[in-house]
Amino acid sequence: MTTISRRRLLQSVAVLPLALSALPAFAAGERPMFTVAVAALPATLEPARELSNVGTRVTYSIFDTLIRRDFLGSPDGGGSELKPHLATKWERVSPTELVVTLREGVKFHNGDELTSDDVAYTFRDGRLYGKEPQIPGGKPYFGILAGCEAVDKYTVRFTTRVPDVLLEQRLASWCAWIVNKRAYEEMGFEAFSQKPVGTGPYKVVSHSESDATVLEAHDDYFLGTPTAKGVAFRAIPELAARVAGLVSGEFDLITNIPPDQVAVIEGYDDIDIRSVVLANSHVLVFDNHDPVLADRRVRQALSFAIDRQKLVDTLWLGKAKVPASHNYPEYGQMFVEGRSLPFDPEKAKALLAEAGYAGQPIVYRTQPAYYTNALEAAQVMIEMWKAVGINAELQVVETSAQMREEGKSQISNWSNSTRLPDPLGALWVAWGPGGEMQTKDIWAPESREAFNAAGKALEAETDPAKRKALFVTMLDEWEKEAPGTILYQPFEAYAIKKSIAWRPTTFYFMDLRPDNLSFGQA
Amino acid sequence: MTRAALLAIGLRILRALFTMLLCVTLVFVVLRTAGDPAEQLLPAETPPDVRETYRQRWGLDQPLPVQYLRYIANLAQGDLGTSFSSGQPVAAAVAETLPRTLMLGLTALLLATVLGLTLGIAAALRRGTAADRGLMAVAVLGYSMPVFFLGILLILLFALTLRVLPSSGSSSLRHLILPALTLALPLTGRVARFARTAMLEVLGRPFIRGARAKGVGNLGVILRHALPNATVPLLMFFGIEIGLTLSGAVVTETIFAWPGLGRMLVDSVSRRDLPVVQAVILLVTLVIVLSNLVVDILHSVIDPKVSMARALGGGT
Repeated sequence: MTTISRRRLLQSVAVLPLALSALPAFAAGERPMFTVAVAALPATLEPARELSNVGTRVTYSIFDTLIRRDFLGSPDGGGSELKPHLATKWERVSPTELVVTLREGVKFHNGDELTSDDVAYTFRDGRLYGKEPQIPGGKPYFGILAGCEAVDKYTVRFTTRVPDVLLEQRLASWCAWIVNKRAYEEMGFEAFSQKPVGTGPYKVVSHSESDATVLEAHDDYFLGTPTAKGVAFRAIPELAARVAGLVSGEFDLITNIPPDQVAVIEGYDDIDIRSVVLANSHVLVFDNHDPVLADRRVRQALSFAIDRQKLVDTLWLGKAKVPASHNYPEYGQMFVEGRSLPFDPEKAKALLAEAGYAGQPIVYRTQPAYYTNALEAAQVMIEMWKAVGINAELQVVETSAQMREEGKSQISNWSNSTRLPDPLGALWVAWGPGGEMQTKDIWAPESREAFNAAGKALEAETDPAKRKALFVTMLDEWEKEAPGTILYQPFEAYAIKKSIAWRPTTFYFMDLRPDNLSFGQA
Repeated sequence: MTRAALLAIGLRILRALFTMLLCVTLVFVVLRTAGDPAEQLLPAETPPDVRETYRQRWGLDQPLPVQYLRYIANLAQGDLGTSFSSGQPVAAAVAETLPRTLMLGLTALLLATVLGLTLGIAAALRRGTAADRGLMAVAVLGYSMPVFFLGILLILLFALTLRVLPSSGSSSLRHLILPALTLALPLTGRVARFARTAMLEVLGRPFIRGARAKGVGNLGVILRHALPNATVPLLMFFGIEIGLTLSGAVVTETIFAWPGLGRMLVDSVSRRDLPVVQAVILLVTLVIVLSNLVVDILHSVIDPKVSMARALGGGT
């Protein structure tokens, strides 16, 4: 006869919660919820309004672009080939006109079919460009547009004010997400910004900047059924809490792992670190207004005195990268071979002597934690500068305005992203006439004329060989005038459950489309 | 209620309003002199003309006195403004956040009060013994330990090692345990120390000896004679602590991703979202002022020797 002892009963009760919690895993065909812990969430989900790593990490799953940049087509996650996406084809009908054919049958989250009206609405005068655009950061990307009109239900025509070789790249970039016209008009700008409607693999359930953005699968997604039943991006500012949540199984993936934590997290058997060198460079800015730094030889000396590889090896575990100047392989044909950022302390000393530098103090201001490792790198560079005879001093300040305060700071830090895989989408955006350094005259007008002339010519040029020659001129001028210098391309590390197949890209986007997210067995 | 008491309450409310005005003015001036919010809020590549449009939209192009008067006028009508970054009404965001902060703060307060009083009284009754010294050592450790350190220790122990509690978030009561403990433990230490001192002072008084001489038991002495008399100093102590605890725990909320007022303050300060920062500071000031007012009124209720007018600082 079977008896139930008190001990056995207690054991059974103790095991019951575990057995119940395991049940969902066995439910047939049930897709898992994918939980991502991020350091911060965007204020809104209007995709062009949130042009930042924090914003696009989330909005990339809600929206699609007409053309898709195939980041994952390259092993390093930085591919720049363009592929059909919401558009099936596109054709240049004149130097200033691009006709785009839309994919038929693509459904928005509200059930509407994507038509040319939605595309024309997305790129209308007054949203991304125009006199008072709704989106503050849209102009540098689409200020070049003269208009976008619907030709028929599935065809749109883009017209640019001048010939623009980058238009297709722009249409694949982070400002070109297609929004639903009906929802946008019915809800209004602010309400749409909180619960927008796109065509992406996941649709918005709720959004709270201080808590979580919850998305659910858009099962009519044109690239196939999403592999997760939903995605929750949770705002967890504290690293220890993100790591604890990942280890305990609350989260599937966590972002923003600093280099010094990589080895610790790699120690867990079921967790992977997946890192990628970002299409972004940390740079130094040299204030041309300063009487000492007004001499470009002093600025050049500051650059020659930095051993960038040492910074990469010591602060970034050797996983960051020193680029070939403001010049990146994803430019494809436009990439200039043989360029480098030399470390030459002797040349730095010679330049300082030539400039008659007499030990005047040079102040480098940085914010303590805005950029990863900024303070540590600053401390090392101060010593590198001192080693060549520069009387460098480090000051830590709170805001970017204090960092670039005229008369108080000669050197500050910054970062430049490669928004489009072309010099016009990186060097020109950051250091050209529309960039902060020129609009604030931190790069003095007299020293940037040749650079600007070559850049403006590049904007209007379509011949590949001439474009490359103009880029070389720009690069030469930028290095010679040295309004700043590049340090390195940092790496971004994610920690993820080993059983999940997912690859990061070199840009900030997190690609959770069905072809880049799948769940295996642990 | 006497006329003097009513006058005292009126004066006290006026003082509270003045304190709040002073506070919002200070915050208003400091925030606006600490840099242009448009620099921080808009993407770096925003063209100067678009930047200027946004400055105008947010009213930042106006002279500081005009901005200030407009802000005060809106505030007087109950309009806290609109967030620069989300475009949402600040009042709605605060209303969504406040209950979570109150939930965390009240739980911590309750926990700290029960634990702290128990430990403090126990230590006072065993004055000079090893138990007293041990309890007070624990209390000192509790309030000396920085919250950010204690919070991470608790995460490492309960979420990472034992895996019995969630490390972050606010979706269930289980999520409340670690942040409430983190907030409560240092406060428990302070309450215990204060309760011990207050009790010792009372326990040495002649009426306690009298009660004991009458044969009142230990528990009766504590509950009926010592504790009521130790309540006044404890109440004063809580007047400060309640305000601080309920007004949002910046560090604790950040560590445990608890979406309360403290988190909101940190996020909005780092983004220079001025309307949100101003609203949170205003609310924090209001909570502290109100909690002090309530404590002062309670003081006069508990201690018959003190009139309400005197307790409120308005007369004898």
